[in-house]
Amino acid sequence: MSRVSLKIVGLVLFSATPAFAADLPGDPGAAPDAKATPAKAEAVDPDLMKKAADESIYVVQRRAYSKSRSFEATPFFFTSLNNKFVGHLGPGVALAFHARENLAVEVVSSIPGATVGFYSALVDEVYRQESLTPEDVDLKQVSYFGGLALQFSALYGKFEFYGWLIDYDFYATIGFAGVSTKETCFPGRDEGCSSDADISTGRGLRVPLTQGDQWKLAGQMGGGMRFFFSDFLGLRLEIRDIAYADRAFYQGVTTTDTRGNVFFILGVSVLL
Amino acid sequence: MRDLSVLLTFMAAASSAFAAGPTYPPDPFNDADFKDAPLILDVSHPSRGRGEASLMYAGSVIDKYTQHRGLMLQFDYAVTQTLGVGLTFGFMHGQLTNIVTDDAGIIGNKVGGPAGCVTKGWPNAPECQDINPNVPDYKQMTGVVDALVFWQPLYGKINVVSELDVNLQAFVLAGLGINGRRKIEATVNDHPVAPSDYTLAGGGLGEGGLFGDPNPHLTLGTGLQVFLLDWLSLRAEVRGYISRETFQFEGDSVESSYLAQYWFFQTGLGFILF
Repeated sequence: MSRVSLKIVGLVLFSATPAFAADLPGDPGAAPDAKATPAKAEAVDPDLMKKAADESIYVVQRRAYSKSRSFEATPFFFTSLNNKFVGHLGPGVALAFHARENLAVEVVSSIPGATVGFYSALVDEVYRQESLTPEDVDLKQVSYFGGLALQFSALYGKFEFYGWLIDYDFYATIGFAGVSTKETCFPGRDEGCSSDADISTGRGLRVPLTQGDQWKLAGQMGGGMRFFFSDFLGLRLEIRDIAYADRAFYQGVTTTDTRGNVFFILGVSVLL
Repeated sequence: MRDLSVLLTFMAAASSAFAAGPTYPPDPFNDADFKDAPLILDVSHPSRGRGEASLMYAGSVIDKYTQHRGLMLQFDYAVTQTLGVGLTFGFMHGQLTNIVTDDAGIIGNKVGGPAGCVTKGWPNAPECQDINPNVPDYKQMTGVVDALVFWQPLYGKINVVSELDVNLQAFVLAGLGINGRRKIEATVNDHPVAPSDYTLAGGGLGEGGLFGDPNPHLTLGTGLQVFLLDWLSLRAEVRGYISRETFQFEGDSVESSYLAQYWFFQTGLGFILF
């Protein structure tokens, strides 16, 4: 190869370098621009807009915020949805590390001692009307849960609320958890039973005498939606099922069940 | 040496490209392709004046004594971009839950429990005369008709795959309507020996009529509509029916009224008519 050819190749490579140096903010093929400032809208020919109507995706692709390599702290409130026999509500906190824009590892925990459990209307009704009670295992309540989960958010988009754009994404989460439970008992009669009793059934709660009946290894699975109102503050709505095999041993009778506590979670997300 | 000087001249000329930041024309392809506000505000499925018929499958959630499955047919008309009205017709087919029907359930206990019909002595024991559950919220919904108002302030887009622009709309609804009710009757079989020796009547498809024993209700709900095609959308919503019922609770001498709630998750297709 002649020296002249080498020089031409070198020249071409040199002049091409700036094109690879950075993504063009307006380049349709560029990666989503995390902190992009919306381009100043200019008057556009309506015919041109109509012609381009089927190409309106790029603004949806462009995110106003980025989660990648960020921590997300979410204090939340939860309540159970499938209160067949017992219900729960309480506060909790989640901390997620977003390794990528669509993948995060999350640690979630209810606040110890702050979970409130209660018997459903059905327990009260069948007890008062029919003098029946569900099996003891069905009356066990969750006093704490905490765990680790993987979060995958593949779908994202934007909502318009009277001219205000709200970014959001959908996510699915799966992982494992530890659950602490309490079992039903009668105050004054059973060892370790709480002094306060349910008004209707007269039952109290206690930590199961057998440790194996207190702590449960659970699987957790769910999905949710995350709205972001600014580049650091958002709202999370989530449904999470925490399932585990449960057992109660009371007065010589053992009852078992597979419990699936479906929680609705409402939280405020802060990107750190 | 002369070649080197030529090369240096070119390099010096090229370096000016790094000296200043690149400038980008606002519309390099002249196709208005990345004007942020106009594009996201480009509502591909405008609500105003839109008429739609939806067919949805409904299933009750948080069931106590009865679970419902049914079909809902709905006609919507959007009066403005964010407000609409609708009319819903529904048909529900309910069944008792296993809390009622299991051997260890309410009826099973009345038949074969320690204080049940078998123990007390069939056929003369009072326990054998009425084995129906004496609990509130026992009646089942049958037909439903609703007049609804929709508020749909959230219109958005979701990036499903890189170039697929999927439009969706979230809404809340409220309305008033009437639903029919029916009650399943349980009777103990002849010569019962087990908790399951009983028969249920009135729970067949269509039994109880569409609007027999009618009751007014308040309807509340929220949902999401995903536009699949220009004329087709996918709807998913949660809808609750709140009505006043009466029941004689244990210890009361007369029936008292209370608010009964039935919640449904329903999903189906919407056909945009105009």
